[in-house]
Amino acid sequence: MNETTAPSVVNQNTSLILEIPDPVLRFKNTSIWYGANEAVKSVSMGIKNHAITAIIGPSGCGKSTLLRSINRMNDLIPDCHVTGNIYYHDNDIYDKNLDPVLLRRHIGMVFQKPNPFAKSIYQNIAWGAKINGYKGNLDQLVEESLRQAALWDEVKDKLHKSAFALSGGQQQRLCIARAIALKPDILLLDEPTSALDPISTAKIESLLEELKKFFTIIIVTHNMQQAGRISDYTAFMLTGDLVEYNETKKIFFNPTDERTESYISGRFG
Amino acid sequence: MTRQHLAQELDSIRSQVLSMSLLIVENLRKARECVINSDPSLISEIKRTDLEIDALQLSIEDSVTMLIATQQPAARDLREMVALIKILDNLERIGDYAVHFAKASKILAEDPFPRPLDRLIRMSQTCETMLDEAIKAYLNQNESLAVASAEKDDVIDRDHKAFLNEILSLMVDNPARAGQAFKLIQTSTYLERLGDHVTNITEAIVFIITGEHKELNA
Repeated sequence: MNETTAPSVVNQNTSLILEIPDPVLRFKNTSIWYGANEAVKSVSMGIKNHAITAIIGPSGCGKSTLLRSINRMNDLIPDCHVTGNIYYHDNDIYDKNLDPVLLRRHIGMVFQKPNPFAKSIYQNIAWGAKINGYKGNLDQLVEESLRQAALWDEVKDKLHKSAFALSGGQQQRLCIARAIALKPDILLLDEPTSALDPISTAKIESLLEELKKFFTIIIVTHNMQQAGRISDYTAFMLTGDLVEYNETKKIFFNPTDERTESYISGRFG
Repeated sequence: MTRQHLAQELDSIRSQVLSMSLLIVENLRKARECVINSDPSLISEIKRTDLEIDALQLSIEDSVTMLIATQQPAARDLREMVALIKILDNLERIGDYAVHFAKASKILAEDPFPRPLDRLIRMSQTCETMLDEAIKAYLNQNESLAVASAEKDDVIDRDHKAFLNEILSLMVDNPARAGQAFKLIQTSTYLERLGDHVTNITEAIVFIITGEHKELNA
């Protein structure tokens, strides 16, 4: 990673945006543009290490755009560009010398719809590790990753069966296992349970609470109750602005901004 | 605006809380009338209304519980529902005290009290005013009115102490009246506690509005 010195985060409004000491990730006046459209407007906030941070807001508020900017997934979208800075530790994520592939090894991502490879359960984990240059014991890595993703007991006897034979919830946990096999520092999740039933959702939620011991987790969710249940910090976005960012208990019990109050209470969105 | 169902249900709950409070205020007024006239004839009516008040408490509590279970309220809505359980509990106790207050008229009817009961009457009027203001503060989500209501608890406490002194001096002068005096002391204590229950309600209202637990009139 490229070494740069990150200036401290200057928050727009200290009463609404919580200061995170020693954040693992820092947005500083981050704006994200699709052509001339500013989808994310000058966001400044820090992300706490080994915690779950939820980003919530109505459709089109910029939450997924912000999430995807963290491991430069937006690079793949034509006309999308970022102004301001995002610092991962002290490295500017958008430094032109930074290798996005290397960055994504440190910052993994799980998507809304489970997207296992058309391979066996085993290969779904081993293949990604191999092409990323993993030289260790693959069997051990597969077992360890599946155990961490709370999937091992359900699949240990059918590791070489197709991943598509798994249920939706199991497929999503496999995708999480695949992401954590690379030992990332940060795990990004874009509505990871929106396609799952309540039981599978509950399993993923319990899993995330376990995983935060090892990883920093940032989750975008439409499900406010989910954000309330599992996250430690919540950021509320509206039309590209970061309206309020605080501990989840504060956001859900006594938010400061009227717009947050209305959204949390389900009065719009 | 979404969550129309939640908004409608909350409005309906607020109306029922208002109905319950009006019944209590009316009972307090009737109890005062009983004491002023040393006439216990309204007691059975007051008791019947108290049963209505108790039933309303349970019914509103069920509505609140159902709303929490089905609508998953958050932020201010959630605070209101949690605070409502406390408010209803305190209202129910206030209803009981209104009945106890009315019962003082029985002992006064049996044996007219030789001294004026102005302080006791004034205490009950202050209680009615406090409750009236507290309910208005709840319905209008008015923090300063809730605080103003709670401040009147000091007036009740002062009247209670002064009334106790009056009764104690009477007991010294006329030990034969100790039994009746003791019951009047109990009645005054009920009204003093009634003021405390209204203060609890005002604290719950401030909690709904601000999200903070503030001790009013500690």
